[in-house]
Amino acid sequence: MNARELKERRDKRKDQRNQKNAALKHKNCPFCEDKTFFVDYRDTKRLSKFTSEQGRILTRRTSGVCALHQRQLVNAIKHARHLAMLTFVSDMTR
Amino acid sequence: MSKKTRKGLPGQLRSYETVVVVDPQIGDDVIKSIVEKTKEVIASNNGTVTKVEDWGKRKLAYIIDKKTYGHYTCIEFDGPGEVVKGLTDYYHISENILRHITLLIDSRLREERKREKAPAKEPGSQDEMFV
Repeated sequence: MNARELKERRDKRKDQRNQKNAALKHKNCPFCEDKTFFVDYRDTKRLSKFTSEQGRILTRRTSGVCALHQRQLVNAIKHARHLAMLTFVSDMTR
Repeated sequence: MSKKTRKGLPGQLRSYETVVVVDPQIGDDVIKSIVEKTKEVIASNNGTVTKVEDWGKRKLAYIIDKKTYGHYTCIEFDGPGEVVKGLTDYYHISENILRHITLLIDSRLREERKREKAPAKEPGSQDEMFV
C-alpha cells in the first residue's frame, strides 16, 4: 500500500467518526424548527411538553431547546403558573 | 436627557395586557362591573383600551382560596407606565379577584400571535402536496 492510500483511508475514517459524533450531539430546538418569534404563555398545551411529570421545568440538555427560546420559555411557564393555567406541583406528588 | 426606566420614557405609550381571574360564583353582573371598572382605571390614567377578550370559565390548575374554577378576562391597552400602578392598586383593593397580571406585549409576541392565526386559513396548499 502506498503512503498516499493509507492517508486517504485514515482521512475517510476520521470523517465518518466526526459525522457520527455530530449526529449524536445535534438536537434540534423545537421552537427554532417551528420558527417561533416568541414563546407565548397562553398556549399551555405546548408549554406542558417542556415540564416533567412532577411539573418541573425541563433542562435544555433533555429538551434540546436553544438558549434564546429557553429564556423565553422559563418566563412563559412562570406567568402561566401564576395565573393557575399550569401547575407548580402535579397532583401525583401533592 | 430623561432617564429610561422600567416604566419607559416619561409620557411614552407602550402596549400592555392584563389578565384578571375572577371567582365565577359571584355572578356575571359583578364580573362585568369589574371589567368595566378596570377599563375606567385605564382611561383615567391616559390609556386607551384596544381589545377585550373573554376567555370564559376555566378550571384552575390548582385550588385558590378553596375555589376550583375561575373566570378569565384579558384586556389589551396602550398607555404610559403609570397605568400599571393604578391597575395593581385597584386589584389589591377589590374583592373576588383570585389572580391578576399585567405584562408588556413584546413586538415579537404580537407577530407570533398573528402567525398562529394565519396558517389555519391555508390548508389547501398541503393537500396539493399529497395529491
